[in-house]
Amino acid sequence: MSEQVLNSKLINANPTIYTPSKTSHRVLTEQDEKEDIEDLIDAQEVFDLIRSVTDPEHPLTLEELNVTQLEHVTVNDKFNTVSIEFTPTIPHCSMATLIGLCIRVRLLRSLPERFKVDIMVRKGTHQSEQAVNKQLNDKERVAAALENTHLLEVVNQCLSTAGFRGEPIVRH
Amino acid sequence: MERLARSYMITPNDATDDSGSIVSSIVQNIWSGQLSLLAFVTSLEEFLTSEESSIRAKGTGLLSAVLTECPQEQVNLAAVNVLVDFYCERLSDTTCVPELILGLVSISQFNSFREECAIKVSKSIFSNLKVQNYQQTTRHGVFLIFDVLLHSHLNACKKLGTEFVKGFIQAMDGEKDPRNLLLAFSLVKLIIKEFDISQHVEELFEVTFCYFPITFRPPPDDPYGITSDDLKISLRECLSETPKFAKNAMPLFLEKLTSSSGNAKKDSMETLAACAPVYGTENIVPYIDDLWEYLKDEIFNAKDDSFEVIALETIRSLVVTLSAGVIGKSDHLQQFLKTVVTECMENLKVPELKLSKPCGRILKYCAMASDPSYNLIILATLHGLFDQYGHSDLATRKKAILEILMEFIVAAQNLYGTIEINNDSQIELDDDFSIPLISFKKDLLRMFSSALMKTDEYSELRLCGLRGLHGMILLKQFLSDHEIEDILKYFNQIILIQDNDQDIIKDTLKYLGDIAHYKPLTVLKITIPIFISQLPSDYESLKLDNIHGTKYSKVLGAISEISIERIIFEALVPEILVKLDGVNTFSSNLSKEYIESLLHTLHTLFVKKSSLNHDDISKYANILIPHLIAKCVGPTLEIRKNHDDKGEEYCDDVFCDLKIIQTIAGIISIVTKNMNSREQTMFITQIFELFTQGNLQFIPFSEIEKNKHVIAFNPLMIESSSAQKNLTLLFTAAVGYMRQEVSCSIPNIPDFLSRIVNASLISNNKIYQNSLAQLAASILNKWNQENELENFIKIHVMGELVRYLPSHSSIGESESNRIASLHIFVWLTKALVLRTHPAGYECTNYIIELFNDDTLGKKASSDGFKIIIGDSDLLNKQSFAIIKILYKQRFFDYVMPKLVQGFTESSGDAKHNYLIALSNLLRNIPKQILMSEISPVFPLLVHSLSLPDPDLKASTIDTFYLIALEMPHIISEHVSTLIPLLLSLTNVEDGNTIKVRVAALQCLSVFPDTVPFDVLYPFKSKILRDLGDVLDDKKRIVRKEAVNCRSRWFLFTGPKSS
Repeated sequence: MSEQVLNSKLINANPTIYTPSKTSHRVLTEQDEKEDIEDLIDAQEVFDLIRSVTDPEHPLTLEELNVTQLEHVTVNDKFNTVSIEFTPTIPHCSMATLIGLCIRVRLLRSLPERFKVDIMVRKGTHQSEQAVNKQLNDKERVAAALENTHLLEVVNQCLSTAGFRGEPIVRH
Repeated sequence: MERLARSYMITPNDATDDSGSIVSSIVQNIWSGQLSLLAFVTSLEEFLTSEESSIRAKGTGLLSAVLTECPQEQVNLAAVNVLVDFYCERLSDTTCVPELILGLVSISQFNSFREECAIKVSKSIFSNLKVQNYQQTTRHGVFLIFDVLLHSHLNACKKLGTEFVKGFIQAMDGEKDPRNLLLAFSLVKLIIKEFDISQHVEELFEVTFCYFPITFRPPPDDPYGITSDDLKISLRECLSETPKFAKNAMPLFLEKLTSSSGNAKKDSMETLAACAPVYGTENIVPYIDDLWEYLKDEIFNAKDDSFEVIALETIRSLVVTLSAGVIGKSDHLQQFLKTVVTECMENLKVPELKLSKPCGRILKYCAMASDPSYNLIILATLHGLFDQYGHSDLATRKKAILEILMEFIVAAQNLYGTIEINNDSQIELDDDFSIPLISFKKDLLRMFSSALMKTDEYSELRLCGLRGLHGMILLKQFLSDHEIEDILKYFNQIILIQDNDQDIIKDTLKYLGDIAHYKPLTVLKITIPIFISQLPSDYESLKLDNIHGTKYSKVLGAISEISIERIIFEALVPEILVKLDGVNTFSSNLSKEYIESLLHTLHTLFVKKSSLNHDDISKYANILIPHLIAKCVGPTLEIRKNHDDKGEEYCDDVFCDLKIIQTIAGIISIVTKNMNSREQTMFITQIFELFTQGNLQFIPFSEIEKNKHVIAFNPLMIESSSAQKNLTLLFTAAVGYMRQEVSCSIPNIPDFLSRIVNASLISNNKIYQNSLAQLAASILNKWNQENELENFIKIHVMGELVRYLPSHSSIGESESNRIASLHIFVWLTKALVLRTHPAGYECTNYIIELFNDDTLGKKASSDGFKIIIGDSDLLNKQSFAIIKILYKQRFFDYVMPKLVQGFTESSGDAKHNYLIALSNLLRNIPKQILMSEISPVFPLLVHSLSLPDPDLKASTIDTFYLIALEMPHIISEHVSTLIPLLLSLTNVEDGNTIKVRVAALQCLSVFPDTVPFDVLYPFKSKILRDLGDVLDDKKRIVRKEAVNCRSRWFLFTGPKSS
């Protein structure tokens, strides 16, 4: 009873936790340290940017909640396109837009301007898929949302762990 | 006498120096017997009885001050009684109280201060003083008096009984000063322990609990040296001293738990955990349900791990409390655990969900509390969990269940203990004592083993299996030797046969290494023979192994993880030597690599053993080392007609390979280092005889081998072969690790040193040059004959060697010769600088002068300074070098002004050389030294960012990084220069290397952490804009830093308005 009262604010109080696969880390090669070789931006690199973003509801990362997965990131460096599909933890999750916004802001700040970035809810994983997608890919609506200082603070909070890139997070 | 007293009376109150000197001259008089205490008191009578209160106070002050410093033996029983009477009577005189208390503090510590006095003083304080009306020092004095009374005259105080308790409560009521409180808390604890407080429980509780939770924060300059934790802990000790507080405390705890936050919340939980066992079951039971609800929420929604751990510990303490009353009242424990288990099991139904892990931990902490609780918990949960495991096909679910079972194994280790280290005797299960988990042993073994052994399974599940098996092996009184052996056989299978999963192999080895620590004999029996048998023993089997993908490297890697235990290592060494001999017949790359791996394994193990201070290392000097030296020396004594493409003669034996010689040198160093002086003296003598006289006696050559030897061993001679010269690496390896008290066993050190120096100058062999330079430096550094040392430096170093250096040298030296001389000169300089010998600075000066030289300038500033001040493998603490503590500081103080001056006065390349030397210097000195001298260097640092040398730039940027961390105000002054400079260094087009770009980005990232917002804010938008371009750098590692840096600046929004 009291648990319900206490957790009443959470949309999904007890989500499933996934252990990140160990092999999904890029190992530095000799090539990475050679001056003249050009490293193209690839899916792993973009996934690394977003995997450790914290979920707005839990002190868990998007990767731990399986919201983002490497397989659902597509990158074409030559054609300047990035496409991300993410999976809300439950189909009626009202946090979906916020999560998408966090991903959007993270990539706005971290990818070269030349990229066109599409962020979508993965097909069939959310009730109002289309509405969410529309919001997330409308530049003006994104900009308007970030005008809201409170919202921006929440986004910044979620992004504060993004730099861990899949490494274990030390929270204080 | 009266004159002294009078002059004291007229000294102003603030002239403490004057009054202090008067007091000490009076004390002097008493000390020497010229003045009796009685006479002194009499002389004060006039003031002590004065009508005017300020005079009375001052007079009393003088008396008290004298008493404070007065020698014990001058104050006899009668005097103490008189003084006590006087002081106690006066306590009603409020003006004099501060001075009186001061005196009483001293009087109460006199030997003649007896029980009656204690009673009198206490009574008088209680009846006359409103303690809290006085200033802090006086109040502190009162608590000090109580402290003395309670510790030295406890029985007297106890006679007062309730009166004392009541009086103390009154004195403490309202106290606010942290220094007084800390003392008062410790006294409360004592009073609770020693006195009957039953009539004053509530009052005593109120005067203490009112401080809970402690919110004290030390003021910025921390004048008291008291931390919030000091207060917390001493208050906690009061509250947890008696169950009598329970009735009052429990409801308040509950209230504080729910209402407070942050540290206060932690404090509340910790205090509750400390109090519960004292308060006892009956006091906890009424609140247990509420506490559970609260603590559970705290665990499920913990802000960070520390909150969760404290909440879990609190639950454990509650279960401990309930368990203590378990006989007759066991229903409370049962009832509570039933609630816990029901709720946790509910959450464990879908174990991969978020709450299952915290639930597992709750069960673990409950189980860990006591034997009955452990029993109850596992009986109530294990069957269910086993069922669930059996019915589940999902790997993630199985893993989650094993993780919970693992919690029970860890809990059992905690509660019942682990097996003893090095305990290989057959485990005899004690019938009187069995751990409850034993009845589930078969199931647990089956589940964890099968999880581990499924090669195609989810690796996280397999790792769980591994951890569980390891946990069970370490659990006391649990597995039989037979069962442990079976598990080790599984491990063998994983490591040697079936597995490709590197994570599993790595972790298996890690756990196996740990098990070897506890059960070395079992590992020696089950694991080692199998591993050894996998290693090729001859060239044919080596070739075969190579076809199958050089399995030996995997096996050797495994061996180096698990063989550091003495008996295992001892068994391993001869086996390795056998393998070495087996493949040594052919010198191919294949055998060379194999032999190097074998030696490398030995070296790795020696390094590990040495870092653990094993005492069995030096004994390997007797057989192993001579054996290895024989391998190296043997071939160089035979005639081999081999010439490389340049026509140089070389030796084709495997053991003439440089890498192999270096590995053996490493082994020799570690073994030498671990010898005691006696062992070293013997060993070093043999080594010197070998290398200086070619005496081969201690090397175990067979007769057949000896017959092949036709060349003498003479590596220090000019005409000896390159192969022999390379072996000086072994010489240096041994001699370099000589203890200071062990002397070189040669008659004439100066001759020997100059022989080495000359040998190194004449040769073109770089390895030879370097090892001889280090050898000479090491001997010079440890040379304890000051006079001989001075002479040698004067004649050979500053006299001869220096002549080879200058370009206008009359001898007309070749360039390579000059470089060789500089090299050895630099090493000798290092040897002297380490022991802060004045000649070291003289030599350094000489090196600095070379900065203007076209050929040697660059070498002197880069390699030279790197060697002199950088850490080296040879001349360091481990190798017993003479190193004065402040040598870096001294060197820095000497060199820094010269570098700054040289930089200003020189031009072109030379300028560059000064900056390089500076950069080498800064990189190698402790940061405190750097920070204290940063201002004069700062312009030089900025200048070096504009030079093309990338290494110099990168290291300079690192220095700025350090300054930003340690002395941000210096950065603040220069941001307008630094930020644009650093931004330009992030740009690939200006020829900045990866290292430079990365360093510049890291440096820019650290600014927001330390430099104030208002200083940096004007640059924020430019930085964000410029870094936008760096996000498209062609190198991924640079992009990563750019993202980090830009993200740091985006989040840099200044102080929160709230």
